[in-house]
Amino acid sequence: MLRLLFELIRKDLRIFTADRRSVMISFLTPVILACFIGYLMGSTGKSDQPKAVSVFVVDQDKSDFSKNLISRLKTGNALKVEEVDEPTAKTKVSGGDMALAIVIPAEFGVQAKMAMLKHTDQPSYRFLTDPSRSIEVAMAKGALMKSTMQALTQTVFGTATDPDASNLPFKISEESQTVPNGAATSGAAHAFAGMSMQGLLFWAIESAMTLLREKRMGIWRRLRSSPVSPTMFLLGRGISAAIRALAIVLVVFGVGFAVFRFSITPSVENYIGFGLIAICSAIMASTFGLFVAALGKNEQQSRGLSILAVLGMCMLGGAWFPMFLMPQIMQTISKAIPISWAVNGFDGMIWRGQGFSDAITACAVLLAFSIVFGFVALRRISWEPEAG
Amino acid sequence: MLEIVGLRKSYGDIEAVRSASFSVEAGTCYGLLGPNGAGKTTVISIITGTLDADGGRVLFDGELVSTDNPGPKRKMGYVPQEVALYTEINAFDNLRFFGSLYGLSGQHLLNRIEHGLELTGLSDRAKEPVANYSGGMKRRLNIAAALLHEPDLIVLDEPTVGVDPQSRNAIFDTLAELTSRGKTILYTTHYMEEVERLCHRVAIMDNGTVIAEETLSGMKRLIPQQNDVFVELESAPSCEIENLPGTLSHTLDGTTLKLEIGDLNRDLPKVLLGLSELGLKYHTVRTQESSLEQVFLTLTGRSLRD
Repeated sequence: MLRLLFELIRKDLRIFTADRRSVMISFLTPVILACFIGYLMGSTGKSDQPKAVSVFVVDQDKSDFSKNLISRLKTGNALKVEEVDEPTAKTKVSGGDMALAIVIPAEFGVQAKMAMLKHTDQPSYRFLTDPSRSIEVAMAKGALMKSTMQALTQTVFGTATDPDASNLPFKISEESQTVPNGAATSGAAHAFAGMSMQGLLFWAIESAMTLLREKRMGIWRRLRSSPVSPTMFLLGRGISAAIRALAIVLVVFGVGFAVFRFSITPSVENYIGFGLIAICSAIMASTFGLFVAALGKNEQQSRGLSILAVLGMCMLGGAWFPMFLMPQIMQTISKAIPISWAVNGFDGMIWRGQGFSDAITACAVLLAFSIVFGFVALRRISWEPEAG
Repeated sequence: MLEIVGLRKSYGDIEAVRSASFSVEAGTCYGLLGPNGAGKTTVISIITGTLDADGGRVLFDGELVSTDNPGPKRKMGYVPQEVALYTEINAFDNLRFFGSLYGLSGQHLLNRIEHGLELTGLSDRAKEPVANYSGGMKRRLNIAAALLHEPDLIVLDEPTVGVDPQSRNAIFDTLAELTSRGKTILYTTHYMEEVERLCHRVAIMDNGTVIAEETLSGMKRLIPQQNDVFVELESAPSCEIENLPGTLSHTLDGTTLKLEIGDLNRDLPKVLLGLSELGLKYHTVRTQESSLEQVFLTLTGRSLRD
């Protein structure tokens, strides 16, 4: 009985270890994921310094107070400050390049002092915000309150003191850099964009597995014996996969539009822009499937490698975590991840209120990825049958 | 019609085909035999333009066959060793797809599909997913998919593996009908009786080389004749038979006397005379020629292959 059980177990373990590359991928995938998430969520033991939030500051006050405040913000650890003008700030925040911009209105310093001493009306900071990045906005609020009170008390009393949150001589008003209703629906819309892309890439893996299964079944051999060229077969496969991928994207967003009540910014340009991004995302996913099929020797290897690649792209492309949680180097790397371009493109057309040119940029990048994936697939896919 | 000259093909360090040369006449059925790993499938792949050779050439109707030359491919039908069909969709859709690869369309394509389904006895189940089919039905459909465009040359790579006798018989009938209509068939198999039934000429491959190429009867003459004579006696002999003139050995099984003789023409009359002298009457005398299997095993050896 025990001997039989031992043999059953030994057989399974031998099958598992037979393909060393697959075994390696089985261990590598969770290790890489755990390291990545561990890096984001916890300390690596090298430093316990909190990560600074990048913000723009628009100084319209130009007073000693505002200069003192900006200097304090810059020397503090909480924020990484860059001074810009308001139009630049709006463009960058609405484009998703920055979480927020703090606008210090003219006469803010004078009015804040009056409010503190004589209890007149409190002046208000204007926060130009990206509503999908509320954590960064909250962190910036805390740092700004502290620095403002220190700058004010030093100006008025000669010594800087920490704020009493119940009695602040100023207010903060948030202005979401989105279309109307964008702030309320941005979270759901962003999630649908991210998850639709993740779903699409996982679907592309399955599509690649089908292709490899057809090779194993001898269908490629039969196709190759016909007078049709391999390029034509790959083109046909690519287009049919893109049609299926497009249908998936449209159904996913359709559910989002119906259930979560977000919608494309109502303009012809945005509808066309959304459609083009959906088409280009579908083409990218379809060529990614061919790319996966071309790289692996068999279904097991291709599946393992591609799952690792898709999970990596989802992490780095911002589908799972806010990008600001990631180190600057990873934020830079995300520009080389097609998911981030697709997600930002969809966000732009739905709630960021971006224009047609932004959609065209996203489409161009997605098509560039498609060309690379397709080219590699065409060069690497082996139509040769095995020896026999 | 089909001329194969000095084919060579390697996969890395493995020499799959070292030297293969033979030719196939139009309207005949040609058998390509060989043990596992002999290089048959590689030769077939090169002939069908699925694979390019490292050396040598394949000419089909005088035209060079290669992976990127669609001309000869249009006139060939290839039945791979595997059931190379889309099992998720039905037979009709499979045939429509494979027919369209050869430029068939419209009513002509529909007619050809209908003919293919009738030929393979699948008309009743044409709209059923292929995944539901039995092994024999899939094999028959596998063949039908290669016949849609009415090719001049049909290349079949072990088309009857795992097929029940009824389906195998149906496949043989189909192939016999095709040769009777002037089609040329190149057929690889492990089953000698299939070659004996179907083929006019045979090549035997081993270790990547064509080691023999002959007509079926010529192939059987390649090994020394085995002169076994079987004599059916009218009744079992009452005493033991000893020293029959002209025989090397003999065994008796009931009324069947098996004799091994040295030379059929010289020794058989002596044997029959000896039997008469012993008072043994017989009603049948038959000889047995070498089987193709004996020829195959003699030429390729009996060691097991990878």
